[in-house]
Amino acid sequence: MVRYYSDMRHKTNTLMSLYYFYKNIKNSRELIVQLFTRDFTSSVRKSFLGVGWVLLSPLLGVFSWLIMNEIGALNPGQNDIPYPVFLLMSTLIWNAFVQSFETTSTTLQSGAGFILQVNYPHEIMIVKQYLHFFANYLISFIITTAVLVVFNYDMSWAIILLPILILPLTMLGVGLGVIISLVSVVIPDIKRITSYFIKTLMFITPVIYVPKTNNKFLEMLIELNPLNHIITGIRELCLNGNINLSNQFTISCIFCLLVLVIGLRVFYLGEHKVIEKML
Amino acid sequence: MNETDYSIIIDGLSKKFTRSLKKSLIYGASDVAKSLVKIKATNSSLRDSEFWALQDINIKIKKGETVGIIGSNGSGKSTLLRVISGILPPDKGEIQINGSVGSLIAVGAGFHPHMTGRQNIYLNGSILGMTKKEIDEKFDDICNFADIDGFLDAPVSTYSSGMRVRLGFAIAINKKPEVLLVDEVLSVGDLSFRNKSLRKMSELHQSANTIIFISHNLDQIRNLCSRTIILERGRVVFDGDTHTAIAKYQENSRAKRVSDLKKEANNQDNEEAGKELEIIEYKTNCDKDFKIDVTAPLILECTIKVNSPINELSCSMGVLSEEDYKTCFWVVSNDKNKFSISNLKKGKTYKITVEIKRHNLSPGAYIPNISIRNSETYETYERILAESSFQISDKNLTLLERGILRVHENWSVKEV
Repeated sequence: MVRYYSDMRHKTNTLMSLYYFYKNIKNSRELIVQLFTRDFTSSVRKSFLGVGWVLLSPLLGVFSWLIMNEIGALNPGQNDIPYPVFLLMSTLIWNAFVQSFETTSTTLQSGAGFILQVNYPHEIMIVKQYLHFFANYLISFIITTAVLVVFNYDMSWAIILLPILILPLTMLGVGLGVIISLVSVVIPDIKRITSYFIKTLMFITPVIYVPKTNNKFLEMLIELNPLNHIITGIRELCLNGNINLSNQFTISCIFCLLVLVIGLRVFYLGEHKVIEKML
Repeated sequence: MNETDYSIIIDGLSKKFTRSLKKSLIYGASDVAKSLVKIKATNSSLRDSEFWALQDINIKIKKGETVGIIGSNGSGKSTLLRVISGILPPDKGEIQINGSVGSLIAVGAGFHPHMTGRQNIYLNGSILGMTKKEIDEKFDDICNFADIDGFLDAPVSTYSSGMRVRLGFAIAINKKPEVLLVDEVLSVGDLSFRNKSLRKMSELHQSANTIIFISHNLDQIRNLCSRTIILERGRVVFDGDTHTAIAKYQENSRAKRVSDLKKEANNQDNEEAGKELEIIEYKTNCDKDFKIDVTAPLILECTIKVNSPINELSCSMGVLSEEDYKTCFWVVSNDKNKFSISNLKKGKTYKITVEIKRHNLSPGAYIPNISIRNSETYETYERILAESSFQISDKNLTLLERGILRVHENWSVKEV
């Protein structure tokens, strides 16, 4: 027997709601696979280059940073790693956060065709979007690693673990993404704001350079930035094989997990309130 | 009656929507924010530019019942189905459902145009909550029902709209849910498919599945449903047996249609003013409740004002269905040789009357239609006369048989 009543989701606590998510996702595995295949194949088919884009986009991104470096616009700071390698690795790790955020921030919108026609657990779309992100990510991971191998860069074997190491970054990305997906149904402008925010965030994160500043405020921001510690940690491990589990790294990971839980909770409480605005 | 004997129990259900988009976005944002800090959203009262799409609905539906829901556009029918199926949360009240729910609110939801019919069957099936195994088992049934042989491995984008609907309906109905919610989907597709779908639904009905059926087609409601609910502005105004419901609904909608059509007629009147002929009045022999007994003769009466002399006039009077204003049951015309209307003088007013002894109309709502033509100039004045709509009623309620016409028959039986 099913019961629906007003504010029913209020009465479920966070832990219970996570359990429901788990249960629904487990029961809907087939649907997730179906939807993922549908979206992934259509996203590939829709573009002229198809799979080519997945390969090309990380390389193109690196290319522009390289040019900026050559003309002296960037000051990457002291670094014993060749700059192109540093860039490739950094953008790869950074993209785990950005892309997981961007894909999940369209969670509700990606089901617009049937969200108001059929009742099904909407959390499965978070998983579907995540899979979508992860599939793309794996491809660019393989490309980047291949490039590093071709150029004979001597990196650590730990790079194989990268798809797992990025987990905290994607937790942060998904946590923020699902909140934005929800909010953007009622406040569509939020998408633009976040894209500026992400750009800014990149500059206080050691993605394209090792941040060194004399500005106390910026220094504090960089220190507080959880992405800073995670990205540095992962990069060190992958390129040099140094395991440097600082306290900041651990705290940052816990922070990411927290954001994920909050994000899922917000999604649970809010999604059924906003979907009627999609009518 | 025990609670478990019911498929659906709706108790004090209310649902509100916002008229203005901007306000709806603001309210949405504030509701989400409130739910985060565990403040209950303001559900029970209306804020500025909000309205009740459903208000205080109380319905109990027994297992195996087929219930029709009728009501004018915007009366809340689709919203009610969405709330029952759990797509939209109620703002007040509670809904209890026993058994799996399948909704045919929009068939083929989630179809992907670039994927083949076969892939879409699996995709759509799993959206509706079927497992791969279930779909495998029902695959042939679905294909047979959808009747898309030869297109199964073609992308859905190459399908005609009818084929898509057929496929979508085939998937949903083969899920065989215990509670089936159907929203107006049978109005699409061709006749043979509609009939097939209706047959399938009555099959489901016989296997004790509960069906809620929304349709504007009163005939489908009459055929399928034993009980019918009338919704009006989000409220249940009637809940009972289908025949009474339909009669009541037709009566209710009469007033509204009359006022709509009157406006149109007034516009026409303005256009006609100053022409050679004006239709002033059109009457039937109905009583003050607009009713005419099924056994009584029907008298149609038309008053015209002649503005310039007319030698020969041809007049047709007919009866249209009040459901669509199109279906014409019969038309009677004066023939020059049978009954001539001629030598009409300028400035005079004439009343033309025709009596139909056996109108053959079965109980229901009708609307008279008149067409007057100058036989020489062929100038024509046609009018659907809403204010003169009438109802054929049956005081004894003996004529609950189906059909749009009433025939006069003689029965006999003898041993041979």
